[in-house]
Amino acid sequence: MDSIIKQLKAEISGFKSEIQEEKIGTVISLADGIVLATGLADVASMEMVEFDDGAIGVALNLEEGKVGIMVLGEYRGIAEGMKVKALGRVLDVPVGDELIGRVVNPLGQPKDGKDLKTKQKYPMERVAPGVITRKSVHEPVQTGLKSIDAMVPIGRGQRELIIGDRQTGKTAVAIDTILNQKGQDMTCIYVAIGQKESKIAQIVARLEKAGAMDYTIIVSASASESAALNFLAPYAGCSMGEYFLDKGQDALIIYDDLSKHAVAYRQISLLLKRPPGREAYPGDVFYLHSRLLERSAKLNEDNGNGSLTALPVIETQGNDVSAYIPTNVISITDGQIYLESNLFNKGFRPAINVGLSVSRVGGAAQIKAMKKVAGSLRLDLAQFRELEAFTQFGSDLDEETQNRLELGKRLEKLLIQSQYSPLGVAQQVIQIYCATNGLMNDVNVENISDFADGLSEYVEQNNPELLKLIDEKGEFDEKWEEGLKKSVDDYKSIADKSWFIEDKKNK
Amino acid sequence: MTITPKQYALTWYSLLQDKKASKEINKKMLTHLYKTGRLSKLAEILRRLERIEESEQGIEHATVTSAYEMTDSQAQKLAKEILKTKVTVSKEINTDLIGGVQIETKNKRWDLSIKNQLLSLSKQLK
Repeated sequence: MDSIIKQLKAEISGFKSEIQEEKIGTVISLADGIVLATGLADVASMEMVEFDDGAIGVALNLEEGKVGIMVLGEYRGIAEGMKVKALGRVLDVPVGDELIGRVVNPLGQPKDGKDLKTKQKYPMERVAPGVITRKSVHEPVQTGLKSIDAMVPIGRGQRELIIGDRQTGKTAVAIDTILNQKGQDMTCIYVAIGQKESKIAQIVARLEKAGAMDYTIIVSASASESAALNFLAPYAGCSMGEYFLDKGQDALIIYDDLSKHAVAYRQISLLLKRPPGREAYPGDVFYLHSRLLERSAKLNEDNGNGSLTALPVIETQGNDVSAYIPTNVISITDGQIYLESNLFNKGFRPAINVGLSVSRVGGAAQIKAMKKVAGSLRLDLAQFRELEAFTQFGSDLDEETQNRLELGKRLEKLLIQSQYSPLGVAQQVIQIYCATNGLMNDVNVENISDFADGLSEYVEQNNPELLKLIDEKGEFDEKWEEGLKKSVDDYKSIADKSWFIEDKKNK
Repeated sequence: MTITPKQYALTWYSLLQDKKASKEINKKMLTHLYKTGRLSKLAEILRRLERIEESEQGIEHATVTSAYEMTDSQAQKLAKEILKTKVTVSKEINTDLIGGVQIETKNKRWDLSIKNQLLSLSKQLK
């Protein structure tokens, strides 16, 4: 007890209060979280200000004799005539390893009720790494989803858009990707923008259950929070990611979703009386997203070799990808994963439209083994789609066409993957190899998934060196192919007989 | 052409140089603003007018807020000491300050109150 008082005395005696000149202004109007103030001479753009009731704001619009301030968080205590003081520093956010496993708001304040102490702060808006410091994307991010890793591969440092209507599984793709990063030296940041609190709680619970919170930060600005926080959330998350990038580590950031971010920015801009443009978005809505996504990068060896991969999410209305915000973000990113509601309803999940999805730079990041098997997969699927359209009119088909159709059906089924079950890349290679090389031709189309899952398990238990070779070397040779074929035959002899086509079974 | 509040304020100020007619000028100006439907701009015009006056005359206006009653000369002396220019002073009492004074001009504030010291102490102890 005595020592506590002594310590307190020492701390208090060390306190010196100096007369400081504060730059102040006066509130002249307040509307929906936007304050207009006079005074505040010499305030900088994006400088933080503090109101006399303790609320914090950011100076956004600097006009002659007036400053437009965006209030962060609660603004009910602010009144006309109240004084506002410039804090002399631009908006920043705490960063560091301490944030891992935590749920924070865009200002870096914990939302999970636990104490948080960080050592470092980064400004919220930072200039993206320049050309000289960058390197082209060459290492893969394994999402654990067969259709993405095979046909729309993502590389470390890439920006791959996830786009689709509501209820098409956009968040599911993002969450599966986080789950699959376990043990892959990747720190994940999930930025929830304008989401329901219940959905965020669900995601946190799911990540915790899978042990994924050990390498994940959640930045949450929910629908009930002010537009200002929704607007800042992605920048805050990005700064937290850049901390790992600067340290030479790899980070993955998911912005879920940028349509709501644009809507929040539209609200702020309109209240600040900036002129509206197309769909009432302000003129700089393109720059809003481009400056954010440009901050994702792969740095070269001289700059630490770190990477920041971004998976922005965009929600379309009625499959309209030609609306303003979707076209903007499509043109900024290095490719898109296009999810479709009719595929989703048909049971193809993840509902990825393989024809419309592209990855502009990810191919260079794919491991060699996957590149080998995925090349024919894409081709076989494309041919299948073409033939399928023709065959709807007639029934007389030659044998080759029939074979192609059968193969296509099996490939389609193989790409179906249930939620929260990401698959390692070596397992994916094995499954796709077997399907494209006709090793699954004697399996019923409906039993493809069962067969593939069983095969994966069988190989893992009885022939793990097949997986090891892919994981270590990233390639396979003839010996490997022979080994795999033998394993498949062995597995077929013990697998459920009802999975196989009748006549082949009798042979 | 729309006339900006700044232009109104400049015109008003230059007209007011004729001190004898000030009452008449003010009345006419206000009537004009009322008739042209620009009365909503009055607050802005007056703010600018104040600013023009201060910059023309080199006098700053300061508000001295204290927890306890001060005499005019005390307030005047204090404000002059800190601002180091010619000042006009108005006084206010705010018991929330606990003790000490706050001196405020349009753009600046010097907070010498006990309340502020306690607040900064609490921030340091956090």
